[in-house]
Amino acid sequence: MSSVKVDTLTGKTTAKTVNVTVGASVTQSLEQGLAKAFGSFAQNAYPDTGYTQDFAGETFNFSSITDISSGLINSAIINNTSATTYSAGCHTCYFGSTGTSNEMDGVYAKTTGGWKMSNTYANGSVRDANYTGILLHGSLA
Amino acid sequence: MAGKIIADQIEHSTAGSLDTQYVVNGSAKAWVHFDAHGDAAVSGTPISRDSLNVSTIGDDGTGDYTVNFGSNFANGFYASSGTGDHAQYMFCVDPSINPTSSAFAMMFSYQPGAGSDIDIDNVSTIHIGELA
Repeated sequence: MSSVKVDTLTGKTTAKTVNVTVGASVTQSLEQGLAKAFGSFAQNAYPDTGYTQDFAGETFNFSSITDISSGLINSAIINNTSATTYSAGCHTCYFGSTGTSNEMDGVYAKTTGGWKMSNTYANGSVRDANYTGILLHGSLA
Repeated sequence: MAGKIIADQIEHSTAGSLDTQYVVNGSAKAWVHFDAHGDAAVSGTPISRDSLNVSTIGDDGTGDYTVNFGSNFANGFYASSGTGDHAQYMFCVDPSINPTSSAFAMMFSYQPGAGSDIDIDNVSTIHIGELA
């Protein structure tokens, strides 16, 4: 096995551009493919997982993930994005009296410093989810 | 090309090491942010705002879109995730069009009817898998 020992990878021509071979011959920018933030959050306790109410699990590049109100979450990131056109994905899970269901997650109020998420169920009302997984892809400032 | 390193592992002086397979397999191979509703320049036609490895976005009808990749995946079994800004409408894989190595079709539907899709803004999708 070969190993490269470095603290920082920096592109020779452009600092953030280090290409990686990701297919048989296709190369891709390492920076563009990396998640710039990830996190998980429970507005309600998540049974058997250790998630308590309003608990943020493991996170990366989030300064905070907080409960705004029923079904609504605010996130703030440490290193801002360069624009608001980043790709922010989130998925939620809800445990109800009739079992587990996927809710209809929505991302809104995007800024370079974070965004808000909603957890909506079938009739259009929001409610607290037991789990929300969050991913950010795009360029940082 | 300025140079090339071929290695199985990258090691940081204090933060630990990482097999480069995680760099290759764990990186998103495509992602996109697009708008298809509500913007002055948009009227149901998806417009890409930022993306990686997405060549075009097809308009398949109200609330239905296809992301076409610049470099194809090895097959149609990559992982995809997505969301949009209209909370009542759910992102899902278009059940009538299987993902292929070159394209991913999605729809935003209001439960439980798939016939009442709606055009969405602030759509984000992420695709992770092996490229061809």
